[in-house]
Amino acid sequence: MATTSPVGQKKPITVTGANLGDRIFASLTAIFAAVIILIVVVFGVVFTIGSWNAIWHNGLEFFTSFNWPDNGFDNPKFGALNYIFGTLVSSGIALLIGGFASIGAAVFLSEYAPGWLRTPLSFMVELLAAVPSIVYGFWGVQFLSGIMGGPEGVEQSLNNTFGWLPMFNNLVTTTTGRELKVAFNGRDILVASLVLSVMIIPTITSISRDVIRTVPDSQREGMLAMGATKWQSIRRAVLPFGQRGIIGAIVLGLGRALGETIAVAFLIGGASTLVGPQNTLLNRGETIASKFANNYNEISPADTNGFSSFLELGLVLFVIALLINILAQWLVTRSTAKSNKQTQQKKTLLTTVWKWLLLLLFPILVLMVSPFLSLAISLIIIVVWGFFKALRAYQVSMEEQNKHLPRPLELIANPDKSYNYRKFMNLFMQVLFVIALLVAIVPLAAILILVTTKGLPVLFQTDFLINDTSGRPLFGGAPTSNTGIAQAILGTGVLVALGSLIGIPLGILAGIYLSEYGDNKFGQLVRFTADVLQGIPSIIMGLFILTVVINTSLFVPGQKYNGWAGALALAIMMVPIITRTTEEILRLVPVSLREAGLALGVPKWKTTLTVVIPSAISGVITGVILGVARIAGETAPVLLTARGNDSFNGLNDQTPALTLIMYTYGRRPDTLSVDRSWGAAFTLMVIVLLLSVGVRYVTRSRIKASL
Amino acid sequence: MSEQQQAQAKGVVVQNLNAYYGKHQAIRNVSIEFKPNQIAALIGPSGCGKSTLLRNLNRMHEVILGARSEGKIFLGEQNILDKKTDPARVRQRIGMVFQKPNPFPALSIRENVVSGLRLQGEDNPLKLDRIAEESLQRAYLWDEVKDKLGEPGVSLSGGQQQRLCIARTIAVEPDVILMDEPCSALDPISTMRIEELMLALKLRFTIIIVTHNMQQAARVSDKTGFMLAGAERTGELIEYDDTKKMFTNPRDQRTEDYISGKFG
Amino acid sequence: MENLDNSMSEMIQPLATPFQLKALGVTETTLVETNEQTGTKVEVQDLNFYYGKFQALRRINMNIPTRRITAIIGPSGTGKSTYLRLLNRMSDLTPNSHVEGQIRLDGRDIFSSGLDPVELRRRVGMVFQRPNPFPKSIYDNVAYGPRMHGQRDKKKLDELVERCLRQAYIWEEVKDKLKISAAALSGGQQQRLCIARTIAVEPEMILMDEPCSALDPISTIKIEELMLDLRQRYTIVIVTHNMQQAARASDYTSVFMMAPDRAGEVVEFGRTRDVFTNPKNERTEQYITGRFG
Repeated sequence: MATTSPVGQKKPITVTGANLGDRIFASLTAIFAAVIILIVVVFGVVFTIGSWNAIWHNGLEFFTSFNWPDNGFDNPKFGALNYIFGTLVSSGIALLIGGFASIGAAVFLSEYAPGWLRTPLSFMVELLAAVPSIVYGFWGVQFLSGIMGGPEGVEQSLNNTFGWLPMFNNLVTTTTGRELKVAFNGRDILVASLVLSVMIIPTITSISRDVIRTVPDSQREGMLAMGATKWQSIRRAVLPFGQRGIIGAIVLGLGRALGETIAVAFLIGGASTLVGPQNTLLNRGETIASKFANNYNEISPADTNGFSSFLELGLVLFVIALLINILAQWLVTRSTAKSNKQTQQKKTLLTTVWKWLLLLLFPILVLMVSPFLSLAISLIIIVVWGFFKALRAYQVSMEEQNKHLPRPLELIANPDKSYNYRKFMNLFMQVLFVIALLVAIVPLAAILILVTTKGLPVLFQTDFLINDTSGRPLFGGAPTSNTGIAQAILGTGVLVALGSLIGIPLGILAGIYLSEYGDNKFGQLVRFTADVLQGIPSIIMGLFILTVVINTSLFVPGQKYNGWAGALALAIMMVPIITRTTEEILRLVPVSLREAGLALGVPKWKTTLTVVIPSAISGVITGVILGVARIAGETAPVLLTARGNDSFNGLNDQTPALTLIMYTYGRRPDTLSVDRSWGAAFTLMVIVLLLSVGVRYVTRSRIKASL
Repeated sequence: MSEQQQAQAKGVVVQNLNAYYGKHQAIRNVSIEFKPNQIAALIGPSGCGKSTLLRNLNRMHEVILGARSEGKIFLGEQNILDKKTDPARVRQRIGMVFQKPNPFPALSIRENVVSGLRLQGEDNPLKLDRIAEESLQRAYLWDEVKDKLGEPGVSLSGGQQQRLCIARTIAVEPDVILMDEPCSALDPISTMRIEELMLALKLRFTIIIVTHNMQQAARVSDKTGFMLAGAERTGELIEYDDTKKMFTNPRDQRTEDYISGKFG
Repeated sequence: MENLDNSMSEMIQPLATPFQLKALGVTETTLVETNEQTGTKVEVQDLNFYYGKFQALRRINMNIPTRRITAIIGPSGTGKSTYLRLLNRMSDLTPNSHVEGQIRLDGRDIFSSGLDPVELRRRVGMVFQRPNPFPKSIYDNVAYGPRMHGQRDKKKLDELVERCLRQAYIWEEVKDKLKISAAALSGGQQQRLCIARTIAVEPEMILMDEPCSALDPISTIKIEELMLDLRQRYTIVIVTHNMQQAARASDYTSVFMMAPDRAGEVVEFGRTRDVFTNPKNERTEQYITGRFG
């Protein structure tokens, strides 16, 4: 049976095999995946070209000066230092407070909470992740400001007690050297940071909780079986295992905080260009994102220098977001690489100090606001820690030489000390987690209650859901004096529906490509660009559409704001969310199921459509809902494109939206406007929550039936 | 090496143990005595409660939501099911090796071995090195890994990972080692290695092993217990005796049926 | 230390042997009826398989007989599963791999460009190590394959599902609950369901990759009985860790071993009884008697 030379007959293996249907399906999904790359490329080109003029014109002064003139007609230079500074400080504080609370809450929910508490709390956190950020901002203005500001407010007492700390000082210096007193009106960086903290809590908590739940029980049990306390098993088995996902969650939260426009714009609108970077947190400020929202009327292509400078500002925010993503990637890979390389070399004191310095780096950056304080605190920590380390090193060397320890050291080296210490830490951390949970849950519950109690009654005002804001009934009839928000509900519905129509198929097909065919260079590129796209702050996306669609009169002539552009911006916003969740969910479908399908002689594309996707359908739908809920609550991109309107005149005109009602009327002092905003907030929240709860319920019961 | 290995371990006595998952009773009224420095094997079909019994011995049973148990389990003089006993301390004295090797992926081989000591607050690098080497040698793994102690534990093969888990368990010098089907995920050669290892370890520890594999029970154990679940899926101890007697001349008909493969 | 080893082998030896003899005793009864020779279903010729640069299989030659059970045994990492997955080109899913040599199914090279791997897999079914039913109802699991191949007739599907479930010895246990999810079944039942699903597309050959390794002894015995029954209609190739299983439930046995460069090789192939009672290769003997290593 010896045939000649079968050896050496190489068979290159193609991923899709020879089946025609497979090839068509693979190419189809690849085309949709390529659209994502295309969007990001266009984005990059538009922003580079658009800001080119400003980059040369402003030069380095953009980063050193804090003077941002009202317009560029007299050829002045623009300086963005104030906004960059405000962005970093507010996001940093938000990350410290929100990050602590969320991770603590996530650990509590997945490790400590008794069964009866676990489900409702987790469900609530997930719901709150869908609440639009403008609701948080509105809550900040209407409620938190009131508590914090004023002569009786928290800020005043903070200043009274801690006024000696630079960050709670009440004096700011103007550029001319004059000292100004800060009015404690509750609209300042501190309050904005607090609102941001609360806002990012549900996001980080729900993702971290999911991550922690994926840690296999064998890991926990392995640690527990070695005699670990509960806290030790969390610290040494659960958290290291879930590290990658938790860092990812934090970065996502930080990204939201960085790009959050409206909540901040509500609170700290209009920093004075006369005041330089300030130590105090109790004065007004501005972040990059809020600058866009507060000055959206001035962003006009007619003012070449000004427009270009705004684009440059957007580019800077984008680069900051990108850098943070890259930093997180680096952190994750570094920790993996470190554990791979970790040999038994003894750590020198110097390397450990360096490690701790790195850990302290971030708080130090945040506390740069008050250099004196941060320096002192870190010095104290390092000295105390170094003392204990040295003590321990001495003790070890004594033990090694079999010498007796001096009496006081013996007390410390008492063998039961470690056991008692472990028991204490266990209890301590448990208490800490409960506190974290409270910090996370209480403000969130407060928001829900406040919006309901204030917003629900408004809906029962005459014609509130029938008339538009100019007083005309939406579906014809004579105008009355009763105004409502009907046109905004319709506008939001139309914008979201149109956005979803484009975004959902694009996102899902690209996600299918990534999970089923994406293990190659092209797939990596798509994945990277999808992440970049997701990291683009929503206001920048609005600016992008403004530049590409409206300024070029792409859909509607005459550089007119229109609904088509708004829907497009929303569609692009939701694509990366859907793509990445679809990909991740589909990857969770075990390979064995795919193989089972293939082994029955079913082509891969059919297996994908009939086995893989149905197995993961609830996850895919969750991703879609997340995307839809997200864009329904988006304000910034619609603000720059659709612009809002007091009546609904079709998509060719400026198009109204619920979020825009809140933004336009939310800060006005008169009752009518405030009522309108509460009503809009409540309606928006109900829509988003119904979306989440309803569809999730439907999928769950369907999955149950099929399982 | 020998002097240290010949130490006397403590035995475990179980009295009238009942264990539940929520409302479901998993094992009923089990009383059994595990003698020091012996290997006891628990055999029986799937779902007969042998793993549940094992997990009760170091209070890992209660880790599962809704699980609880009644009865007494004595390690030496101490009732470990007593409410006042800290489970973390029990687990320090009674180590456990799981069905699937579960080394900690974030830790290197060395760190995996000394993780138990680190939990107890030991951070003297010289001492840790010494114990890591000693434990790996006792787990017959030292020669295979001595040049790559810094690599992650999960880079080893399945059989090596399982021996790493055993090394990790013996590093804290427990009295008793529980093994829950330690070889079911391994190939025959790794299985053989682990069996050799168990026979060596019993000179120092009391070993209790749950296994599906009757040949394994016959090969390694001194005593064998046979468990069986009735219609309501509650496991009971049918017979517990010297291994030789169990396999050649069991008292109970059901034991004989199971061992001769007629069962089912 | 030496003392230890001695005492250990004393302990193992006398007990291990009766078990193996007993296991071999079973084969005597099962092998009686299969003495006549049948045709060759698959011819494997000079097969090499590489992951990147690493050679996983070297010069495999094997003629797999029609309607017989061929068992593949050997230590871990010798490429048994890799080999099995080549027989229906599931290996295509492995990135960075390539094949040399020929596998001829009924005389036709399965790697020839004209052959669609999808069609190949319909003819050569596979049962996996861990039961992997689809998250669908029991009925839909079995009906999935036929539906995908165009069978829409409800009545014919009903008949087919019943027939396959009966053939897989699971009909009696599930006939009243065909609409419930397959995930609710026990591991052994799931595995039999997977076998029913595989025979529903009427393959010519069934590959089994350690089908019993995740199951308890009683489920294992059921599956072995099922295999002996299925042999009348299908060619079966089974990879197993369990030598008793190979001895009990196969007609032919092939032993894979690792070469010094860690490539898998076939060191022995023949009638199961011959391989177990009179192995030609010394390493086979050592492996079978459990002394290997």
